[in-house]
Amino acid sequence: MDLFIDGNISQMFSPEGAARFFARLIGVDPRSLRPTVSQERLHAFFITSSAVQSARPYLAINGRPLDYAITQAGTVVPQRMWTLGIPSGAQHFADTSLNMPVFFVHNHGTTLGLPLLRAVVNGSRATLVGAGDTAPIGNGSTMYIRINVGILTFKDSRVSLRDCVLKGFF
Amino acid sequence: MTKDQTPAHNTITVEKFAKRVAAAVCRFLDVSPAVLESTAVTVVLTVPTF
Repeated sequence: MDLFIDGNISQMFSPEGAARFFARLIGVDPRSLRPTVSQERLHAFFITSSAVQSARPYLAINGRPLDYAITQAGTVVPQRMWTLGIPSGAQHFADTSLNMPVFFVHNHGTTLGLPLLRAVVNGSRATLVGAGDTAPIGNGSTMYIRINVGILTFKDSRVSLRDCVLKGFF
Repeated sequence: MTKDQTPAHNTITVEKFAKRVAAAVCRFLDVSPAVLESTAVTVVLTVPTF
């Protein structure tokens, strides 16, 4: 398993884009990453190097997966790197630190993803890995999150992507 | 609190974060969660820290 070939992030951003993303996220040369791959059915990439872990202590990398290997099970809507789209915005984005990726993983260990109904109505404590853990989303009180939302059209099985902006108060 | 101090922020669990994201997605799509029973919320997010 290769982080830059088999990982979801590499599949979304391209291997070169993933390398840039990991460099910005972790603050080290991505070529120095030597991830450990879990042997469970859903393969996770972990960073175990103490030197890498100490580069950005606030990320608390130890024990948190950097990525998961792509799998046919579950639903992953591809994401994009986002910038404000204006020159000053690009600089602001370049100066912004990132948090670790957030994965919603079913605790039977075979699929990524969480049904919306379960997340909203039923709660996911019983089925989500680390449901009671603190989400690695920083410590801001207000947060804007932009994600692509995939809408599956059953007529032709196409997935159209729309940019969804979420504003949250935490 | 002095001006050099910042207020403490509440942490949020993965479960609650998933719930808020899912609820926001439902609002964005303008649908009830019930009609999305078989739809999964996207799983990979990385959140900038400002």
